[in-house]
Amino acid sequence: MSNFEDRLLVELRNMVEREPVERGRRLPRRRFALAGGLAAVAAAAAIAGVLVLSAGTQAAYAVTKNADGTVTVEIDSITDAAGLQAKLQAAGVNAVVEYLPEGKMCAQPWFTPAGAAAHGMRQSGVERTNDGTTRFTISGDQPAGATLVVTTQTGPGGEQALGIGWAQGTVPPCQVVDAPAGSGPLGGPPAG
Amino acid sequence: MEVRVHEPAEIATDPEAFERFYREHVEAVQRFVARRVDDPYLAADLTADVFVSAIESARSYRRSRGAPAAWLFGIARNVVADERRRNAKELRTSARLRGRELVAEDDLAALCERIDGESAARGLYRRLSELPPGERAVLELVALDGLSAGEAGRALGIGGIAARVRLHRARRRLQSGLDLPGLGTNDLPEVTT
Repeated sequence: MSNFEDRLLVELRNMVEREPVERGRRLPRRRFALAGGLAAVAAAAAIAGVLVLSAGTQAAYAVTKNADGTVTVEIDSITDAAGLQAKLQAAGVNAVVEYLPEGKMCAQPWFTPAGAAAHGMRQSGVERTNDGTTRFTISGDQPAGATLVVTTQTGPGGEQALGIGWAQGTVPPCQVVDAPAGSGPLGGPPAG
Repeated sequence: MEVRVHEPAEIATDPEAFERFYREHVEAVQRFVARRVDDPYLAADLTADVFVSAIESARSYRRSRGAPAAWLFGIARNVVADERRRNAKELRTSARLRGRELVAEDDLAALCERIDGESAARGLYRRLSELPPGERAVLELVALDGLSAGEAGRALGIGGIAARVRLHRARRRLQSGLDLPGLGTNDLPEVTT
């Protein structure tokens, strides 16, 4: 095998050793990486995924407390951040929801990503259903001081991306700044 | 296609089982990706994404989903389709593991050689983009990746009959004048039911 294949094998083996999948659960996702502005925080941040949402859907979100203590979050459209945040708080999930207008981003670094503590926050993989809903489930027993962060940015064409992650401690207010000039919708270089 | 028996359910929990699975399939996955993208770094990202996704969904593997290799191709197809959708909307990829960070200069020749070898397949892949997504998914796995209609149906979780119906519709659509230059209907496998 080539060196790339060997190195990839080592990384993947480590992943299996570090985070064996519990029966009935998906691996907790811990980070995602984006280019440019958000990458600085995203590379280290416990952001779970980035998903494309279709514009123009009506119902905004649903937060459901399940019988087993987990909380399922469904996001249909990127509107009413305050409402979603309040719903999450009411369901016992400490959360910050920050939706940003086109061409804007939160000044980085924005929050302290939850590191090892994130292992304790059982979160299912973020999935996008056929009807365009983003859905994930989190356990009811989050460690103290952990904050769920749901954030999004809108690109020039109206396309939206949703990032979901975990912060350690409180999340400072988002200082909205312009995404770097010539950047893609997430502050990175234009998609090639 | 080659069928070997390793239970994918184990790969998420047993590093040894994962290594066997990886060594068995890594070349096929890289070729699968090379039939769809021509950037070696993106190909490295997607190869990593496919195996991460396989680890994450291993517990959902059922024999009814077909041989492990076909199951893995079903996953790979979703990974590449997701990347394509993001590109269409100018969004960057999300990943737990960035495959491109594992690429050294010495690797580029092998990656590029594999990509060059699949240029004809990429032409076909691009031309299939006009098809409705469901039909496209089946046709991709059959025409590009050599799965039978039944295998493709199981890999996509829709069953063999639905796959054959979609394949039939795709062929008819192509015959009815959808502009797919260079793609004769002879390129498409016969549908047997």
